[in-house]
Amino acid sequence: MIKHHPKFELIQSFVNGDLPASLSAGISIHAGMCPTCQHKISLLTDQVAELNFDESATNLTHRGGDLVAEGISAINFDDMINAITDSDAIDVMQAVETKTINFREKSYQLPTVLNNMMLGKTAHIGKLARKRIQLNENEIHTNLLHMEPSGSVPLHTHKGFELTLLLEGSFHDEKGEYVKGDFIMLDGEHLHNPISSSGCLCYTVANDAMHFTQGINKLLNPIGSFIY
Amino acid sequence: MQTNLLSTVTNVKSSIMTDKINHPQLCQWLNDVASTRDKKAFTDLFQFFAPKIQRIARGKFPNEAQASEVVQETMSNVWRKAHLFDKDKGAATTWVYTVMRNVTFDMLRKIKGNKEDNLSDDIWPLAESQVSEDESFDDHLENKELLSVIEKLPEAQQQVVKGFYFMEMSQEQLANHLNLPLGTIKSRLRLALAKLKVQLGENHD
Amino acid sequence: MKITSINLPVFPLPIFLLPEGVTKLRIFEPRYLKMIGIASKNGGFVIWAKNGDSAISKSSWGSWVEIINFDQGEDGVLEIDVKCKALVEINAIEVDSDKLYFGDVKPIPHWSQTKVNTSLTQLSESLADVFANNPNLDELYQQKEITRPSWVIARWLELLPIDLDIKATFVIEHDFQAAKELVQSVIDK
Repeated sequence: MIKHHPKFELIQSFVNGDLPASLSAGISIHAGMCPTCQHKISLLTDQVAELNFDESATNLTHRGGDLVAEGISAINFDDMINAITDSDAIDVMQAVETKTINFREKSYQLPTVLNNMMLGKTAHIGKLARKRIQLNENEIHTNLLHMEPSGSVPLHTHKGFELTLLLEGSFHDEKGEYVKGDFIMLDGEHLHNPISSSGCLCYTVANDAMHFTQGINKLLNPIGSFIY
Repeated sequence: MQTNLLSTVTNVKSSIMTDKINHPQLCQWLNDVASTRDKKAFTDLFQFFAPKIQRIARGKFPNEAQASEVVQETMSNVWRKAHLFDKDKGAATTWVYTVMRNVTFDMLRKIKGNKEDNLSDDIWPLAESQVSEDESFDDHLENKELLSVIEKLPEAQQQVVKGFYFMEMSQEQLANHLNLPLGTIKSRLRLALAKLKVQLGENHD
Repeated sequence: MKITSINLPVFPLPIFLLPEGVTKLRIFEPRYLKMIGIASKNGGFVIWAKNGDSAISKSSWGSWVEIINFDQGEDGVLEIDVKCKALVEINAIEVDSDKLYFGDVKPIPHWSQTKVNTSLTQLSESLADVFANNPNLDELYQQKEITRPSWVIARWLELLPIDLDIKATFVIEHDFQAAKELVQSVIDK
């Protein structure tokens, strides 16, 4: 059972469209597996939509500033309506295709949210493999991270945040066991060492290279930029 | 990552009572656009939504041209995709909001020099149900189980989990707070209430 | 001036909340989540202070509250802080398909909103102590009008361990003076 969910504030920002694509996609994938969060998102979307399109909100703006009123008159609405309705074309929904992705010999179904994202080459280190998702979000890096059975990520912390979303399989760390669908958001204060006994595939987003703190792994700090 | 939902709520509250959105009318217009390509219905939708979309876009984009582009793009998606709207799945405002939010998201990604990859419809699908039948059923079951567990708790705890934190102090808490024996508190309360009853009787006579 | 009725969602809860009073609610039932959605864009909701399952009687009243804060508890449940802006008389109550109550309500004036010329040093100090020793309660109140007598008496009345039905007599039947005497006879030496 899914135990880890995005925080309320994160869901609100998601609904408002204020989050980067990487985190938005993470929440969308999680909601696809979690009816509770899906429900919250629907409720909030209804609410935000109402607030945005309420008559009184417009009235307030009209009263409030000439600038906006000027702006509104600057567009010729009739021309726009004519231009739009000139075409009788409609957008037909295409059946959503199911893509798969392979790590070593194992094949996984890719969440449809990721269908149109560019994927880089796969890089391997021991039992870990990662595929960069090329979202071009500067310091925010997004990856698919695969752990073979008994694989682990050495103990590390982050200067920024680290989202790990379990797409398949399970892993555990000092805090407990994580299962498919769990949305695990850590920040610089957390320290963890995930181990997967039966293997797993994760969607990860981090905004800074991680920093290894465990014994000899300090020497392996370059691995941070490899994985996240 | 701050959201302004709460502050918006406060701003709108004062004047909201009189202006309610006519949801059935909006649904009707969207359906007319979908089924008969009704230009009049589209014009009505446009007049309702376009000024609001423009105002919202002005808050997110630096210039007028970009805000107009959001209006143009959103409304033309409404024209071309109205058939994807399903009134059983949610309100018309929710659907148009989703279209607008998606257009805005893709445009912002483009402007920020990221990519022109139009990911929004994958992240926030326009047609799939937000909550499918099966899921809402599950959700309901989960709540039912939760409630049956709650029913077994003692009354005081029930009240806490059921809906609220109990702000009232207990007699023990009050005794501790005033640094008095529990017996004194009990007799003070008894006396005070007896006096109150007499007053109540007087008032009613 | 004629005060017109407003239609608002009604939440039956055995809570006694006077104007300016704040309490935290945990919302998880779908119908009440829906209510929060309606309430946040529509001027709040009414807490219908009712004991047990008693049906609506002639003298039904409630606390009209607005949501002043949102949060998610450690268990993921939505928590809201609500503040009472007025007491209301509840007239017609209807139930919708989600078993959510809606009522026609009309604000009623209350003594806790009036100015009183009196000094209550001891009760103010004692109440300040309660806030100081109860962080949960303390953080609910951003502004404490600890020197305003009617505010102090109203908060004490909410806190005292007295049956809800008796507290309810301070909505209409009893005035500030009676409330002050009751609180003083329990708290002051």
